[in-house]
Amino acid sequence: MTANDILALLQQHFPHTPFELQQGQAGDPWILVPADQILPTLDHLKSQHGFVFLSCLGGIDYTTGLGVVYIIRSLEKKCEVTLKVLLPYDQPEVASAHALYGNANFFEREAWDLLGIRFSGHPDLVRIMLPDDWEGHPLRKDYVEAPDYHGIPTTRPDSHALLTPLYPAKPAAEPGATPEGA
Amino acid sequence: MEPLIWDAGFAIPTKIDDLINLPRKNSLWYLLFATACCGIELMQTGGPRTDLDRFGMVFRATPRQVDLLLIAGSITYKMAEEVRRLYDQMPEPKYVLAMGSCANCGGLFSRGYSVVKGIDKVIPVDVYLPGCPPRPEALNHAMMTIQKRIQKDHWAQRMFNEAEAITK
Repeated sequence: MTANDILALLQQHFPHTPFELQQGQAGDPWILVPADQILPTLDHLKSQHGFVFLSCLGGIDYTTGLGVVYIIRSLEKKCEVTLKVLLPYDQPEVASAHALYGNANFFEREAWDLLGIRFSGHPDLVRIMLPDDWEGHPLRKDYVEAPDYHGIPTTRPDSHALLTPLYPAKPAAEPGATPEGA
Repeated sequence: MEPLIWDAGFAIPTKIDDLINLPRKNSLWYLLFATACCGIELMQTGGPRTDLDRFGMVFRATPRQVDLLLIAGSITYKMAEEVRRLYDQMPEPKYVLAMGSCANCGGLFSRGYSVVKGIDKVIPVDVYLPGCPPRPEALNHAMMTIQKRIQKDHWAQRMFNEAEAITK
């Protein structure tokens, strides 16, 4: 069962939803789902087509916006499908999938922790790995590291700058001088 | 040292510091604390091939019974505060060994956002052990370096100075 077959199944069940099949330079194709339709789509694939296992849920910063990737697997059909959702930077919010897939709980907390994607309806959307008082979401491309965390500096002096150079720097060639060996 | 043979027996002249340091360096207990792959090498060093027990080094599961804090692995900012707490709970005299590149300078993760760029930003370090991760032989050598460091310590003098400062 390829992504094309699953797209046909989805189109058949949701005739008015604009699904889109996309293919990157490498890897598997994925189905782009409108952000407000992801929960019915997952529910349909889980209940009707046996995609009972959420392999992975991750967030991406595309710099034009944020994305959420769902990789769900059907154990009886032995196939896997990738669904993606695009979210705008100023309002990165999507419905939580924890009621369908229990393990989405921790995945979504991770995506919130590192990328700042909000999952509405999540029971406990707090940071999972970074300290609770951390500022910012470090996997965003525009993240700027703070100079220190609780008094611990986040930088170290450049060790190469402390070393004396092994060879003295070459003087810059004067204009008009003939190169060596010419 | 030449034992002085007396009529009634013999005596060994030594300094009080040497006398105190000899058992201290030969019963160096370290904290069972490993945060990354260096911990695997630490377990290996405790194993039969490079046996740490022959130096009188045994691990303890509580910081209140140890002399040496072995930072084996990368320390995140979240963990750094716990490391500071462990260090504060250790009784004096205490020694710290930074094992591996991550504990020395952040190592592989030195461009990352979550790993401390060297544990010496948090607690004082006595011996730095390079390697990623260091081999058990290297850790063995680092432990012996710590022993040498302890042998040079003037702990009796320090105790005397502190007692004098209190009485004054």
